[in-house]
Amino acid sequence: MRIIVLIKPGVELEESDACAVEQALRIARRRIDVQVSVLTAGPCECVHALRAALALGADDAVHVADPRIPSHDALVLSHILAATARQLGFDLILCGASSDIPNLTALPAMVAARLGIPARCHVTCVDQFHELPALISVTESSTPPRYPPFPAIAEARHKLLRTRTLNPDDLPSSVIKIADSVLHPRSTTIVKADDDPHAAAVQLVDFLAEHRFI
Amino acid sequence: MFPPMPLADPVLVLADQADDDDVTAPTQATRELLTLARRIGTPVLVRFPAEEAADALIGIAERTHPRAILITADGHGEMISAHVSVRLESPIVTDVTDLSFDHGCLITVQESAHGTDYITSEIHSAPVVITMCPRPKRRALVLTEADVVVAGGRGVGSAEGFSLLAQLANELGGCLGCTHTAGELGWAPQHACISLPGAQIKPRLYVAGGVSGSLRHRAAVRRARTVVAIDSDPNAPILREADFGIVGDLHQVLPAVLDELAQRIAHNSPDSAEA
Repeated sequence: MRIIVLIKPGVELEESDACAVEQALRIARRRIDVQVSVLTAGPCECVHALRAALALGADDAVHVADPRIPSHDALVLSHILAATARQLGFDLILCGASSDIPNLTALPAMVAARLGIPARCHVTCVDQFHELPALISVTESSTPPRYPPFPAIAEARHKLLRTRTLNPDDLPSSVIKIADSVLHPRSTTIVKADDDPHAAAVQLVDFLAEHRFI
Repeated sequence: MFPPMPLADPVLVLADQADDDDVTAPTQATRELLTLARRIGTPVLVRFPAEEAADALIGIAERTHPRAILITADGHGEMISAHVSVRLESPIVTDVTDLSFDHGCLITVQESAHGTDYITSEIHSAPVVITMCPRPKRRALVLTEADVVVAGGRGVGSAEGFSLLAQLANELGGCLGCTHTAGELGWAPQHACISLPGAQIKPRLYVAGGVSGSLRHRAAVRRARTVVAIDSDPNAPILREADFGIVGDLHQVLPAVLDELAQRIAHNSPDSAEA
């Protein structure tokens, strides 16, 4: 059985992706002949996240390396990941359900849609799969991965990590341009309520309304 | 099947699954999508059950060439938006808080995952699939999954004081929490304790009443996106961490806040006149 775990592009392995790796390893521990491969697409620094996944216990890794791959464009990313997964062959795809990277929450469902396989999203424990091939996304409240012992970390350096490059024709251009990333001005507003609690309350409710909490 | 649409700038909006057939009373989630849609064009409300929604939206989009397709980002919405995006080869932008349209270009604003940045993106393409987080979210039963946490500390003074905080948690659709100290004093149940190891909370809104802000507590709540603090001590450490702070007596401020909230929510309800 071959399980591919999709890793989102980034230097660090995201929590939900690490949980997906752990779920894949749980399946592998209970069965025989399970290969757990991790796959990502992105610039060269993504290799660090792959190495972290290998240290957790994945068997091998594939990195579709190209600095132009946009991490915030799920349409392009799903195209590349689905195409690569199809070429590698798989029985089950696992992936983290949430992400700190904008626009990637729909990525698991999009990869499944492209591959024409059923998707189950926001699963905490992958106990059973009714039909294969399928895709399952794992929440970060799932069992966290076991901290790897040092020999496993050392051994991970020798595991197979294949790098693929993209032909220019295979990279659809992204139409999403991040124009601005404005640091939320962390200003503190302090209001004194001793004389007029009602006025302070009105200001607080205004603040909550402005930030869409009511 | 569908009449020709003469609109120049249609924006498809998928009605929330919880909507009744009564078009005059859409749910809050649908109303929010419609509000966003109006900023970039003419909303076209599309109402279909979840299993038919993706195909329906794709069919309508191919006929009407909308600027955007707006979908609520809940469980069904995630699947629907994924299918629509892939089948139409349309870019997808998720958890959008604001939209505008300028010179043929759609502009979206999102909050970053850590709530520290606003990300503005320009999309030179149509249609764009946009998802919006429904607000308020379902009230979480577990503190560590709660979107809104209202917590109290030693400054609350008594279990009765905590009932005010519980009311506030209720109004905001959140969970009640307490500091280690308040828990030990028996003012709130043990499972509401925040500073326990492993009980990291990650709410969008954290309201701290009478919580001076020990280092241990602040470590447990550092992932809160927005912090509101109420304390009688102007030098309380938590006020430095807060986005909004009130210095005053909790027992006077909280009833005033609850009053104002009740008035505000009544004013905003669907039964009142449209703004």
